[in-house]
Amino acid sequence: MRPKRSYLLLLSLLVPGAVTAERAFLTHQAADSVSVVDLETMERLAELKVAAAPVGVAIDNLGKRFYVTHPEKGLISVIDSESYKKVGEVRTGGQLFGIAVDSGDKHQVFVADWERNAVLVVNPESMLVVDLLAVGENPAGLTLDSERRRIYVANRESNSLSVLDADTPDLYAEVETGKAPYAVSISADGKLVFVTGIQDDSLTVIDTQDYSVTARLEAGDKPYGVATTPDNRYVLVVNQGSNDLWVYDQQTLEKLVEIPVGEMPESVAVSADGAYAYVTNWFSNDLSVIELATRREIKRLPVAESPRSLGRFVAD
Amino acid sequence: MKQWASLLLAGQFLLPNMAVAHGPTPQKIDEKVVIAAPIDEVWQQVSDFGAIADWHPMVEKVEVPEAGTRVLTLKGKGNITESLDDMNADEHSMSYRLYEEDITVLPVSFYSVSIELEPVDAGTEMSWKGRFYRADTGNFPPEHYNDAAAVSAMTEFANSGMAALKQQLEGRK
Repeated sequence: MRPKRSYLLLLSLLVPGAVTAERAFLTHQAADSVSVVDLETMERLAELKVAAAPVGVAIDNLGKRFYVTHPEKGLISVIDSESYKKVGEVRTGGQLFGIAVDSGDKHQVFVADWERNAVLVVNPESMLVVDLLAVGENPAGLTLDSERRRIYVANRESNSLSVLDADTPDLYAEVETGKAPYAVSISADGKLVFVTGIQDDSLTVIDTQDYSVTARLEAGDKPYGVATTPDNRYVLVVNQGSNDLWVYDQQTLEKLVEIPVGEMPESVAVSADGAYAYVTNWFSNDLSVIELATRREIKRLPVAESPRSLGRFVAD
Repeated sequence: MKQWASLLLAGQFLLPNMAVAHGPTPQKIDEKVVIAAPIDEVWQQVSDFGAIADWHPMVEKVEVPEAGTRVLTLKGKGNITESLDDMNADEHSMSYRLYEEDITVLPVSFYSVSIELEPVDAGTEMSWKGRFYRADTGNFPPEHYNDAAAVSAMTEFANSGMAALKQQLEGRK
């Protein structure tokens, strides 16, 4: 593994004109495709057919790949993030949903299996399932804190968040959330975890020191995706029922503004500089661009049918 | 770890896949019709949550056990229950969800629907937007409980309702 990585690093130094603009990686559930959007030019760089009904996405900068989950097929598509060609498939069975990549010393992929109530650990080099960790019922979204070595998983039917170790098969806590928790995000400083509750319109805030519930905030109608900004200023939640993005102050936990987006937004991600938020609108088939400084939607880009992109779908 | 992981896996194969309320992959419909009637007239009909049997041909009767809940009896089939989420008279939009399903009555395990009215030159445009899950949310659904069956049933319910409402309101003139 080591030699291979050094080789990759060397290669990236030698090849000029490496991609630098941030890109959005979109899964199109109803089109059975994945598209990539250049977020500087807002142009579509690629769209490729994949297996049926893709949902979750995770970007692996180390491996120059991205992974897409297919709950209907029980598999993960592995796609080269520069040539946009499919390089492989991980067949796991089950109904795979949220996914996250560990690009630390340990190169691994975590994926929630909705049907088997587990988090599968996949080795991206061998493309094999190497472990299976039991969590609550119907795990949906998950996120990884690669620095502090924790995985946070939202268990949709057991109304809880499982906290797992990223290196050992240890379960630290199962924390009660709102009803039907869906997506999870962690603050940049690692201190707080945010979980949306679809059925009671809530945003649960959890302290990662002792896994206690700090607050249960009111969200819009049917909150789905959640993201935090890298400067620890904002928490963003998209609401499918009210078709908007709610912005909270991460420090005071107060809601600052409601910004209308497209119809039935599903996921939200933030640019690396924290200036923009991107929202996939599942029903209206577009990508909203929100300028956080002015707190408004500055563009709505039409994309292929039913964009979902559960996960951190924006990267260099 | 390895041992209980194997046990867990084995258990999954032995147990039947119990139905859950939601699957991971929702479907959508977006049906529209233009009705040659003023928006207020259309709104008056559709916003009366307990009165859908007055205009929807597939609905035999409606009971309202409490405000915001309606039990629909579909002709020759049986009952499903819906609950109101939002009613916005200013924007002429309403949304509701399936509260108690019966997949033998309508082959969906869950839906949310919003009905929106817009004034247009020819009268009122009515939109019926649905987000829903097939009846069998496992990965190997039988044909009558798959995505296509769910889309077809939801589309038929929306279109037959809107067509009948159009006829009723336009015929009145």
